[in-house]
Amino acid sequence: MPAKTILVCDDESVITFMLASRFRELGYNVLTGSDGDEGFRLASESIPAAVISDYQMPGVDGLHFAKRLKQDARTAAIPVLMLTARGHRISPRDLQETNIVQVMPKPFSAKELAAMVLDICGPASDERAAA
Amino acid sequence: MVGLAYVGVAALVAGATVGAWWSVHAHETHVQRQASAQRGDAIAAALRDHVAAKAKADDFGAVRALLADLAASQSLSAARVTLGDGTVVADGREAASIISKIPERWPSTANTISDGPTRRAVLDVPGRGPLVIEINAGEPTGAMTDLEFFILAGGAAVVVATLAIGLAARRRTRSLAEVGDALAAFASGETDLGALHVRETGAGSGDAWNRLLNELATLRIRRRVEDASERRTVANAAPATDDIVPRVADALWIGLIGLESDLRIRYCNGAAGIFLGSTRDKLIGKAISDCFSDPAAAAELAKVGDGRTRARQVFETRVGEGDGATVLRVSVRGLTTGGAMLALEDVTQQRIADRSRNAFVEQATHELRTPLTNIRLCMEELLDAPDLEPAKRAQHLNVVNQEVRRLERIVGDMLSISEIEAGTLQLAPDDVRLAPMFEEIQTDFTTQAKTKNLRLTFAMPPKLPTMVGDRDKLTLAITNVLGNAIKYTPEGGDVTVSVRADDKELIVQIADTGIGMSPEDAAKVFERFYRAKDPRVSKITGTGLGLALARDVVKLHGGDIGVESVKDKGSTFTIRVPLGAPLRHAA
Repeated sequence: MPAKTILVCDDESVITFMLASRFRELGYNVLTGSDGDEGFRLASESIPAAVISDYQMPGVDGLHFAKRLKQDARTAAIPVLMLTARGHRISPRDLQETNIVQVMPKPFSAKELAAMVLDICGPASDERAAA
Repeated sequence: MVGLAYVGVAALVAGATVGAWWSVHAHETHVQRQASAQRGDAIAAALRDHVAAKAKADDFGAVRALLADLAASQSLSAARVTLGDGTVVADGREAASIISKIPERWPSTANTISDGPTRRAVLDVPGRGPLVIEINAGEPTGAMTDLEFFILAGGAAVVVATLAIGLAARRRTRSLAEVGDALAAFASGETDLGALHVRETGAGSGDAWNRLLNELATLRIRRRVEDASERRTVANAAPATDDIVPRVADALWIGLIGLESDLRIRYCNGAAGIFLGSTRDKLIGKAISDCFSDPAAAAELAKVGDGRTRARQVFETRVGEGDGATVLRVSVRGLTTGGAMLALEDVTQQRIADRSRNAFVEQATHELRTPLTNIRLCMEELLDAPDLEPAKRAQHLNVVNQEVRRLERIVGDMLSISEIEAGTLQLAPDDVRLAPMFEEIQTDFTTQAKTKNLRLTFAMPPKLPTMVGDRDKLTLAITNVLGNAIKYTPEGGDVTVSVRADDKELIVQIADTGIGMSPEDAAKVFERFYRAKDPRVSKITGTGLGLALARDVVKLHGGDIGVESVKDKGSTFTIRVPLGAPLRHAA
């Protein structure tokens, strides 16, 4: 059984690098993108088990990225974890149009994020779960 | 509220700093402990054969001499040899009692396992029993490393600077609020100038207001003296018939309206007519509720009409549509003779400033949170993996270092803007050697441009003169403009910095092939907090302060800054600064 894929999308390269290292250590396949357009292309090509996306990105932002994922039948079921540096809440109406399951304000803990990903889509592979 | 936001930001920075320091300190201590244990093991192993040979020959005197020498030369906390039952036969520190006569045989009952900093090696003296060599190479000193000092000092500087800005902003806001209250009191009929004085005089506004009142008081006294003198000298003149009150009311910048008991307008001054978008003739006799389209305003006015309150009511309402709408603060007070008076103040600019300030605090919070996130992620990894390979460890510490510098720059920008607003920004002029200054700027931005796949070119003459100016502030102005050019130029584009100087001035042109601006945006791009309406701009983080700061710094140097831009083609910013006369230094 191949390892599950996580897609990390953020225009801050330090964040994508650190999160990619963390999830690769946990056994996941990791794809990284720097804006919503790239994120959507990667997600529709590889259908990841979960998407972690920044809210504020150049080009297509995190909210519109999440909406596009929900609109496309292939990617509609992918759970999204939204990272936001802003203190604001996403409106219930916007949330309904997305598959955002959790919003994490920055600065966040990579450990807590990893625990959430584990909760949402399970361990990297079934062999790991059995072990 | 502004002050509290700054305290929050300071607390965030302080928390991140202490976290960063603690994790680095814990890591350094762990590494020192490991090194101490390894050193202890190595020394114990090296001694093993020598001690075995001497013990076999029953020459414990030589063992004692060796341990004393070793403890002193290697600065060991403990170095001793014990029999298997724990009896000390040699101690390098001479801290324990040593038996003089070694028994023929001894049992093996003592601890022989290495434990923390105390490392043990066991050897057997044939026919007699085991010997234990104990070495303690010392505990970590706990002394602060350069990096720890740098993190704590940098963090403390950022916290202090943030609190200083907060304090300045708070004083300024309070001062303006007190002046606003005094104006409202004046509009309500308060004529005692002593009561209109404000206590908070920070940032100049309160001082200016109090000076104005003092001058008004002087004028009143002078007028009274002149009136008395006039009465004395023109005893037979007819009493003044012109009524000064309507003329004064018409000169007032606050709108005044007098209402009858049925809330129809009986009197209004010129300002009230302008605020309500009508003329005095058309307003007289009109129901006041028909003058405001806002239903909430009509409801507030109805309270006066039904006699429910005589206390002063204050509410705000919008008059007009869209961008041209005016925000009016309306104060209403019932009159004892029936009816009511209204005072209308235009607070549009105050509300725009409030919005800008709130947007700035929100944006600044975002700008601060991003480096804090990067610091936290790196620190967490350093903390979780103390055995991280040195290259990766160095990489993480390097990121922390860069992000702390980024925080310093953001707070520095905020502080400079705050100083310019308060009128306390001062230049520290000195001779500025331009060539090295531009070389530093080029070095700082080369990596950034490369990361974004941009071609960054510096076109410099072979020689540049020395000018008079504030090097740090000039660097800040140029890097703010250059940073923007890089930020708003898509991948694969060009950014060119052309520098030239004649006898009189330095001219720096920064041209990019970026997203460009509309003429409307270009006209406002140097205003504080202004950010272009282009959706591509709003997606990129920025405080809207960088170019405003650059303009202020260039102006303080007696120079000028301008921009030519074509949307979707790119922008060219031109900075001109006079070279000034070189400073003369004492020999």
